[in-house]
Amino acid sequence: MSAAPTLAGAAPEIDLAQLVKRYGRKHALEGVDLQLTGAQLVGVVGPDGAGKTTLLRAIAGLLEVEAQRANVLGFDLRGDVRALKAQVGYVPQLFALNRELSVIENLRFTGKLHRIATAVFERRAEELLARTALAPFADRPTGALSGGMKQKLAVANALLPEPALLVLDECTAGVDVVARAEIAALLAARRGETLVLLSTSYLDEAASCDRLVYLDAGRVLATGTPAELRAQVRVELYRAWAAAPRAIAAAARALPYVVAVRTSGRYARVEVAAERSPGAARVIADLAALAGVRVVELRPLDMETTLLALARSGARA
Amino acid sequence: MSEPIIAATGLTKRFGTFTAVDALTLAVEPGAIFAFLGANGSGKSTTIRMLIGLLVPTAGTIRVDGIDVIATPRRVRDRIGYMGQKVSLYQGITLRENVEFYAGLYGIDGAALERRWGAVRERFALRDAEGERPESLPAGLRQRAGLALATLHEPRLLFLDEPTAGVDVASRDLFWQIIQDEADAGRTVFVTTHFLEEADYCDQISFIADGRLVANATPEELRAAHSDGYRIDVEAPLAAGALARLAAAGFSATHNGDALTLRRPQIDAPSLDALAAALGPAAIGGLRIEQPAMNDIFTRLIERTQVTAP
Amino acid sequence: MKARRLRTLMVREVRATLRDPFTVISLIAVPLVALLAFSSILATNVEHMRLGVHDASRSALSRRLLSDVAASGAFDPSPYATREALEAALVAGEISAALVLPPDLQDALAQRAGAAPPEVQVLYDGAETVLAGNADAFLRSILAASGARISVRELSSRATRLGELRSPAARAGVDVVTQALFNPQLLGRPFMVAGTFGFVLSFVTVLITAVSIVNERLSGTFDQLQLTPATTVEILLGKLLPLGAVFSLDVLLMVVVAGLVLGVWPAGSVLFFLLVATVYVSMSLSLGLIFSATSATAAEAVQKTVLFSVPLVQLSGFAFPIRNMPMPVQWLAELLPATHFIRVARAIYLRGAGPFELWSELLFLGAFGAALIALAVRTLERRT
Repeated sequence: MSAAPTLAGAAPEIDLAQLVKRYGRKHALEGVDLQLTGAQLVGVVGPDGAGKTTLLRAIAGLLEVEAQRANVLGFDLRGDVRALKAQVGYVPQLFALNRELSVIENLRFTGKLHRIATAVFERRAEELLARTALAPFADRPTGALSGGMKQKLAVANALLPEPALLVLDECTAGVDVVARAEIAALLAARRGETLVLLSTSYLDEAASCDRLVYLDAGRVLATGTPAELRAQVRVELYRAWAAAPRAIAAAARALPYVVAVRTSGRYARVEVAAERSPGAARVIADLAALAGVRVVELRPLDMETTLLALARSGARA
Repeated sequence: MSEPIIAATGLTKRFGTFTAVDALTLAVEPGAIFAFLGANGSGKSTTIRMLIGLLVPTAGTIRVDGIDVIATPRRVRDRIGYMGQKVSLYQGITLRENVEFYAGLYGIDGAALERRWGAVRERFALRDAEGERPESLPAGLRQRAGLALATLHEPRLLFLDEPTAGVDVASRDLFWQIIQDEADAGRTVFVTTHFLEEADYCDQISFIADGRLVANATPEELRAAHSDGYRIDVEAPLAAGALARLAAAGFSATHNGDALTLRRPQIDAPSLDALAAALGPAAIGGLRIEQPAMNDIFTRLIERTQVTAP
Repeated sequence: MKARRLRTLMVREVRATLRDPFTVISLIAVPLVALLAFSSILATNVEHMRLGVHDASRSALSRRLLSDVAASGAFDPSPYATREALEAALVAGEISAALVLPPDLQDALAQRAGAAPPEVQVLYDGAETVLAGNADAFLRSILAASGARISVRELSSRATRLGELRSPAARAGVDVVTQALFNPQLLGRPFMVAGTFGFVLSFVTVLITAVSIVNERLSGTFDQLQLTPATTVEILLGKLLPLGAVFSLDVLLMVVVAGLVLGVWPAGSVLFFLLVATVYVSMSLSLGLIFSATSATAAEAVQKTVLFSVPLVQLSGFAFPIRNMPMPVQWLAELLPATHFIRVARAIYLRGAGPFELWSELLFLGAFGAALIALAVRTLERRT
């Protein structure tokens, strides 16, 4: 049965081996192996339908699972997870706070649930409201907040009990850049204290994670720091600058080694399969020869290229 | 300059005492991809709903493709395709049945339907999804199917409200290729998004805050106005007289040992020509261009409007 | 309006309705369960009811009356020597109803001309309104033949002191006669079957419809629909006609099951009943659409339906006789379409009434239906 909770940093805080989740005949998770240790920001990324939500819900102790090993914060996910839930904060995709209560009432309710002492609650709530810029709206009914404010509140609310593990499922989907930055700042303030697992489709958020878990078709396809993931990808990225880059996209796609072309502003992003690449000098010359191209540069891989390449290799597998 | 295909003047919408959209004036050129951006709750969806005739404005005028939308909202319906934040496919019936349904409402059936749907299905990579019910499709595919349905009646304008929200990067990539193809085919696209790198895929950007228009420019003009501009690190040796020509083209140069760093608020066609000429054919690959990120530009814009807000 | 667009809308609605297992089960199971349950659980057939009798008359007439009552099989009469003993037995729950025949019963009937008819009292336990009401009607029909005037007293509860017997409306003889005509066998089952149509069509119909548009709104398809060339009237008819057809089939199913399983067929024309039921269905559909179009979430639409339909059905006379309600409530009940529909349904089922006898009720239903449909169109057309 479940072991006693381990001290932070002493042992893997998440240790999953062959974790399987079935819905009827459908397998949402096909055998996930994952070890994560210590407080850090971990991004769970991958294509739609890869099983990200299912994995996050399983780790938060919300699902019945099968596994060889399924330990989270020293608790076995297959056993009694009530004690685990006290140490986990979870923010689901859909807004799940009480819409009729005001911002501060929602926080107070969470404080009471977790039996946080009044003085401690006041201090933490004040800090969270300040960081999220929600202080002026403390008395507004939660249902009347904008989408971005709701998500900031949801994250702040989950952080209030200072959980050892925080699980965020697409909590920034449809949220504007400033609100996202405030959420990122909230999480950064807990860096070194909380293990944060989040799924996101924003490239900048994925790039700023300490570690990424790339999930595809219910399995972990790759895991590592963003740099480690980039190193696994066999793609070269070029930019061909032109006054009207849309006009060169078709010609660039016709080159035999080119995998994908997409135009953006004054340039076309050109992805080249490393194994078919004739070498950077030749690619640059070929691209420069296209009508309208003025300047060509070889770029270090970015998160977009990395994830696209992983998606392609996942689709092939 | 051609006649704008979307022209709104003094557009205002009040809900009780709350002003969601405040005297907004917009003009969109035919065939353009027009990004309509703003923070959550800034009035984007309200504006779109007024432009397509789902919501009656409190004040203002709207002309879409020459039609007065406020007076005769039904007349504009054949000419616009719309895809909302919720992809409007009916659950419980297959994608193919959804296609027949929407096509039927536009009076498209028989050979015409087969021809149009056949083309759209290939272009949007929907062949495998045809027999599936929308609820069993991954989000990206569902989104593409929604866009396919919105284009089936070959509208002159497409209104897309956060079409890529919650969609993975590969699907977004394909989605924008499709949008750019639609624009190249002469269709006007009016689109909102929170993925700000997508703003660069557009020709024109309007930015609203608290229901008011605070910026309306091309992506490059926004860079020039609201960022520190481009930084270009040149590693290759320059041709003779290159620096003078670059300076004439608006680049400022700083040397750091052998390395040369150029700066320019924005990059346009003439400056690209100057850059190419200065580098010469041999050194065309010997540089790195750092482009100001749209994320930072919009963070600045939002912060500026918050400071100046009453 | 274009026929092809309407057909497109209707085909989709039928497909969606018939492919949703939950809706199909609701459409078949709920009416049938309601039919079977209400006709047996709320069965108000009077059988072997314990009836206390105080015969102060002790005449040939009173003996004949009592033997008629006993022969019906509905009552098991037991004699009480005094009125006090009788009332005590009623209060104690030993008997469910009591009959008091006055000493002057025979004499008063003999000298008919001019004089007031003799008064026969029926007492019953107010806690069992439905059963007592039917027993009351039954006794009336037997006693009315004798020409005696009947007064009814209801013991409002068993704890009531005897001195405080409430005496609600003691209705005149006309009432007695008509009741017996409506339901000559005094069977509760056809009465409840006819009422169940009112219950199902006021509740299930509104509920299923109420969820439909709000779901379309939430899934975004409603916006999309409004942006197609389809007009509001087409969109409305695209919902009303298929759902109307589905619920009319539901009515037919209930008529057949009630006939085959419960042995209850309408005394009047089945076709006429189906027609009236269809009119009422369209009214419930419009009401459902209005609830749906004015709700932000499915839960809100369901709440509106429940909050509206439960009192609607309660006041309609479905389970509790309207004549037992306070006057203001009776007026309110007369304003509700469910009341009129149930009345019409019972008239057709029990009395075999046709359109000519029911014209005023039908006019009310028709006018109410037209107003609701107009309101539904306006609600859907709003662009705010």
